[in-house]
Amino acid sequence: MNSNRLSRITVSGFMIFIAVASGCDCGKNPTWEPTSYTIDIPAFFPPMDIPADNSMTEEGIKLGRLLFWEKALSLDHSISCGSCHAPTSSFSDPNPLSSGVNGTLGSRNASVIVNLGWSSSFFWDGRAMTLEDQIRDPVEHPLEMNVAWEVVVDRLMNDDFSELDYPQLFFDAFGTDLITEDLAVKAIAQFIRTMISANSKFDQWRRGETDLSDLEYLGYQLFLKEGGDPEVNPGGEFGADCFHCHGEAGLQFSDYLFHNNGLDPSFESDPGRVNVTGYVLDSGLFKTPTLRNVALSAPYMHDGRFNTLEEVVEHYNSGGVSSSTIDPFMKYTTGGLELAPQQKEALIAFLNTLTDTTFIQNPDFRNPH
Amino acid sequence: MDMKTFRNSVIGTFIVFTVLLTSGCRENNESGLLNLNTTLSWHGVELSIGDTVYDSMNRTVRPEKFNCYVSNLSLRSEDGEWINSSSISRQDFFPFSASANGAFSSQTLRCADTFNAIKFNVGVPSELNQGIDPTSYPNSHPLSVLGSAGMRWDMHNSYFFVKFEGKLAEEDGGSIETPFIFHCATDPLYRTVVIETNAFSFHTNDVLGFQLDLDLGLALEGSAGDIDLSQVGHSMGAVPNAIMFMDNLTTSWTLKE
Repeated sequence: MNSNRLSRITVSGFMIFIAVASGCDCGKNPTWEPTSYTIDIPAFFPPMDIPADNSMTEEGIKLGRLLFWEKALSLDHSISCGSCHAPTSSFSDPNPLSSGVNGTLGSRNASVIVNLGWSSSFFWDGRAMTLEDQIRDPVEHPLEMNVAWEVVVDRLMNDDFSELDYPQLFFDAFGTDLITEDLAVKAIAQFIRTMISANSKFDQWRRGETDLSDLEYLGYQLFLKEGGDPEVNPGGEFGADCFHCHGEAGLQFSDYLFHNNGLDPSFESDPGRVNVTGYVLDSGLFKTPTLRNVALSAPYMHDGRFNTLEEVVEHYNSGGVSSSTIDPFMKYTTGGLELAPQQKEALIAFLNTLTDTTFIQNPDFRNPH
Repeated sequence: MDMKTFRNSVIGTFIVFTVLLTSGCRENNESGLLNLNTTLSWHGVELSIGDTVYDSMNRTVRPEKFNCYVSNLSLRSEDGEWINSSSISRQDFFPFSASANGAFSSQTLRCADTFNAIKFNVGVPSELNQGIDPTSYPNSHPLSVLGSAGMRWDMHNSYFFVKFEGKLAEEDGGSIETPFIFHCATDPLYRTVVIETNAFSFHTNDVLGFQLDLDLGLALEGSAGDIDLSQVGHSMGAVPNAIMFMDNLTTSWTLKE
C-alpha cells in the first residue's frame, strides 16, 4: 500500500466518520428559528404589555391554541379550556356555573376571554395578577380540570397524540423539547393574547366607518352620564352611570377593579375578593367584567344569576340590594336610576353595538383538533 | 404582623411618592431622590381606610376609598424662588388595590443647596387633564388607561382629581350604609398645597424623605366650612360640596415631625 492510497483511505474514512457522526444524532434539528409575532394594537386601544420572558412567536401561538383545546389537560380527558370558554359565547360559558371533570359544578360563571392581554387582574376575585398565573389555575382546580400539571406534562411528553408531536411543537415554540408546566402556560398565554376583539359596530363607529342609530347613540350617552336627579344628587345627569366601572377609555369597558354591585345583602355563598385579600371591606366584591360582546356572554354576574341584558339593566335601575360593602356607585339603593323604558331600551341597543361577530367567528381561535 | 399593621404598612408603601432630581448641580445625569410619605388621619388620630370614625354630628363614618393625583412638586429655595417640576403621581390609599400605582415621572428640578418649603398641586394640570389620549401613555404612567383605572371621567374626557368615598350611619347605632362620594374634577378645582418646612439642604445624589399627614377629618370640617356627609350623595365636578372639600383639603396636609 503506497502512501497516496493510504492517504485516500484515511481521508475517505474520515469523511465517512464525519458524515455518520453528523447524522447519528437522530434527535431534533438543533436549529431553532421561531417566527416573531407582533400584536397589531387596534385603534384607540392602549399598549399591551408582553412579559419579557414570554415573547410572542407564531410557533408559541400555534402551540398555545392546540393546548387551549387539548383535553389531555383534564383528568379524564373530557374537557379542555375551550369546553367552558365557548366561541359562540365570546369564549365564556353559556351555563350559569361551569362543569368540571365528572360534571362537578364550579361556583362561578366562566368569564369571557376577550382582550385579556390588557387586563391587570384575572378571575372574578382577582386572585391571579398575570395571564400566565391565571392559566395555571384551572388545570389543577378540583372543580375544573382536576389534574396535576406533572401528569399533563407526562402526557404531552409520552402519550400518542396521533399526528401531533408535542415535544416537537414545544421545540418549535421554545427551543427545547423538554416540556414543562411553565412552557405550556406560556404558550396558552401567547394564544390568548392574540384573542383581540376590535371590530364591533361601536369600534367601527369610533373609526368613522359607520353610524350609530339614534337609539344606540342615546344609549351611549346614557352609558356615559352620571345617574340621578341633580336636585337630589349633585352632579346627577339622569344617566345610567355605567362608566364609573365600565370606563370607555382604551375601549375595554372595564376598570379592572373590584366592586360590590348590590347583588346580595350578605356574602356567605361567595365572599369574593375578601378571600384573596383578607380585607373585610372586600367582602362581596368581584371584578368588573368587560362589556365587549356582552350581548353574547349571558348569563351574567359572577354566578350567572341573570339570563338577559334586560335583567341586568333592571338590576342597576332598581339600585340593587344594600349591604355593608355595597359600592357607593350603587348609591341609588333607595330608588334606583329611574330610567324610563325607552332609556333602558336605548342602553341595551348601545350594549349590542359592542358585539363583535368577527371575533367569535375567527377561525384562528377555533378548535384545531 | 396583624392585619391592621399590615394594612398600615401597605398604605405606607402606596403613598410614597418620589421625585428624581435630574439636571443637577454637577452633572446632568446625576439625580437626587425626594420621597414624600403621606399617612392619613382623622382630626389628629391615625386613620386607615376602612376604620370607623365620627363626624362633628357624632355620626359613625367609614372612609372606604381615597385616591388623588398629586402634581408639580416644587421646592422653595432660601431666596424665595420656587424650583418647579412637572411631576405627576397617583396616590391610592385603599389597601390591596389591584390597580397600578403610578410612580412619579422623572423630574427636572434645578438643584440648589437649601430649601424651606414644599409645594404641590392636588389634581391633574390643565394641559394634561384633557386632550391627551390616555392610550398614548405607557401602561405604567398614572394617566394611562390602566394607571388611571377608576379615575377617568369619560363623559368629559378627563380625570377625577380626588376620589373620596365611604359610608355613614345616619342614626345612632344604625347600619353604616348611607354612601357618600366626592369625585372632584375640572380645572377650577385644581388646588395648591404649600407646606412650610425647616430649612433643609438637598443636593444632587441626595436621598431625602418627608413624612406628611393628610387629615381627612379636616377636609370635611375645615377652614372653608363644614360638610354634612348625609347631604353629599354624589358630589361630582365643581359643585359646592366638592369646592368646599377641595378648599379644605389644601390646609389638611401637614408636615409630620
